[in-house]
Amino acid sequence: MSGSATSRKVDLLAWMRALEASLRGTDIALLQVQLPGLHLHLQRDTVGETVAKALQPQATATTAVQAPPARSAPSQPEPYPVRAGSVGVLRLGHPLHAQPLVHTGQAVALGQALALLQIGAVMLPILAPCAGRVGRVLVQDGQLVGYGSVLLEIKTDRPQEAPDAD
Amino acid sequence: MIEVLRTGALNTIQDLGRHGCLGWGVGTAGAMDDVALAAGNALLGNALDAAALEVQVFPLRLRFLADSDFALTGADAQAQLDGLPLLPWATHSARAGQTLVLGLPQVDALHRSRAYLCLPGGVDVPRVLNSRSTQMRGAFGGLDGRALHAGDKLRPAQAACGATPLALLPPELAMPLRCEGSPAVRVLPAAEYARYTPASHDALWQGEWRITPQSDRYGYRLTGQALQPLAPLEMRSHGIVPGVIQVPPDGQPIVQMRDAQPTGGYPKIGAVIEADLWRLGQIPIGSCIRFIETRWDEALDAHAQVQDWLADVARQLQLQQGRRGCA
Amino acid sequence: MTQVRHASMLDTAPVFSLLGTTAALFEAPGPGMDLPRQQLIWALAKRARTWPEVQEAVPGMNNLMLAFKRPPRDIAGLRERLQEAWTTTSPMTLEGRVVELPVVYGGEGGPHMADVMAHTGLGVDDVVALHSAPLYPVYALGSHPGYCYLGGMDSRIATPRRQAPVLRIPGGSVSIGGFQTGVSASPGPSGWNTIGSTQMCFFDPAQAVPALLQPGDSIRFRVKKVIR
Repeated sequence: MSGSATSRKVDLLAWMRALEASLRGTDIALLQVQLPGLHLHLQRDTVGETVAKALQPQATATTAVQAPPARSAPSQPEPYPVRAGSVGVLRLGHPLHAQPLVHTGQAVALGQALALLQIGAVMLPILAPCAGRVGRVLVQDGQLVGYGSVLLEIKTDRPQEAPDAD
Repeated sequence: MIEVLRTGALNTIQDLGRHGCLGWGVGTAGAMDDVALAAGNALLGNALDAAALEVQVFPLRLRFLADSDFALTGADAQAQLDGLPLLPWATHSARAGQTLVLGLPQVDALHRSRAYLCLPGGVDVPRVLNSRSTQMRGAFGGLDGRALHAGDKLRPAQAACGATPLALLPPELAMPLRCEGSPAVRVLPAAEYARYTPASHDALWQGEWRITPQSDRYGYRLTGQALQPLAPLEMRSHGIVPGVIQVPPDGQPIVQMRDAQPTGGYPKIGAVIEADLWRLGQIPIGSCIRFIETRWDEALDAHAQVQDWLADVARQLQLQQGRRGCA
Repeated sequence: MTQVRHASMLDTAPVFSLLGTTAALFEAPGPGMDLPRQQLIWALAKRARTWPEVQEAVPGMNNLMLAFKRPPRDIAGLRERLQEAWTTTSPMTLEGRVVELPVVYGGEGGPHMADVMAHTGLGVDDVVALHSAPLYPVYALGSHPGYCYLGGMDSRIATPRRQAPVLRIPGGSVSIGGFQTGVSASPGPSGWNTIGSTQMCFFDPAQAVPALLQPGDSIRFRVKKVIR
């Protein structure tokens, strides 16, 4: 989940305690909050206690993905990051199939399924936001990823057509 | 609106069955894999019992005449939309003019034999006697009481809305059931169980039962060691339900399936529990199954487990569908 | 009301069994099959269909199937309730209608008349006379939509079911199977011996009550024609 920051200063520790308290009555096991300059990760440990696992500043904590800058020469396409829209377990292939959905160098169409984000029994297909070629795959199958994690890169020849992520 | 370009025989519109009409001689019909049908509906945000197309003969070729979302569950039939492969157990969006092809079911770890195509709001056919399932004998319900032909048009009950792309882990992964490498189903002994020889009991529980080609929505004819009664059995016609394992004179059992007639006159050695009928409905011809003896309490627990899985899945899907907002 | 019980019914107990978790089956004490027992089954069905776990109480031939709305955890309790109801219920005489069916015996619509004649040793006129004489009570519906299980056939024309069923007999086929007779309501397979045909709509799904006949009604076969 993402939250939006307010401009005024907040007592961060008090706020975290309040957040932790509100989680206690729920079955939420993992909560991520991303604020400008802050990435908060709250996870219920095996004892059932909520633990604030990490509190680190992040250089870029934006939720909007900027289109790569236009270039006068079309020779070097910018890799376009494909991000997870949620916390979940990353699946490079469908659990029923042996092959991953895509591999580095493969041409993909707009909307093509690149990977799956598993949350419980539900899987969210990660769809190609643009046509291009698969670049680096930055995660492993079965890896727990967070909201906004970069999963893989798409190399597009047409940077001006790269869309905004939601 | 979808046009059927090419279809095998015996693909029918089904929902979760026609209940309450046994007293008129009308069996329940309904999807052979009711869990896959309900899950496909959940993927689209439909009521779980909305009507869908059950595909048991492949390949199937359909053309979308209008933009539409759809969902595919059950067998992974290597579906392609205009030649692009589709993820199984997932929602998809088609544009007018695109062609959907269901090929042959994959022989994968879960090797299923029936696929379900769900549409937004369900397939729009009239309800007859409280259900949209096809009643083949008597020819009513579903699409004019018959199987699909080329040229038929299927209409979704709701206009397509940009469905959230979603996929599901098939239920077999959450609720596996195998016995010594073969798919298995749980069975409660039936009225004539005690009238069979001990060797027959052993054969029932220990034997591998192969599903012969003479198997369909009416019943699965199994082959294995012949089951023998201690003495010849004369039966009066009595009510039966899907799952009942009858033993005809030749000793080769027949498991009644969804289109079974509602009465029978053969002895019954057992009945597959309702909670496992979806598993049975997916086992392909030529495969072997095992029967696991169970008790009433365990059978009810299994029933609750399946209902809970569906409710849980529907809830998780609704959370995701709500996030993106369907206008 | 006086309870009518045959002595034979007191010899053996009714049998309660399960049909998976979908339904329970209650068999009246046997052996054999008769109208007084069926009247008790009808009465039992009428009581059982008010029970909260019962979706439908479906009479069979001297037996009763209870299809569940939800299978009850306390299945032993249901069994006790059924046994208790059986011993305290009175037979239900249903005042039904008599429906007359004109039958063309023999010919193309009665392809197995010769087999019945061969088995019974009777001529066609005797078979027709014995078949069309009784008033047949409808015991139960089942098998396929609108199909009636009838009692009361003369045992002299009883003929065993066929070795190999016929894949498709038309709706309206009048047949003999063992000691029973019946009329099919729609085309389908049959292992019985078809001796004639009738034109009648036994089932219309568009009607609020789709079946023409119900338990307690009776059928009389009227000889329209005999094709030799």
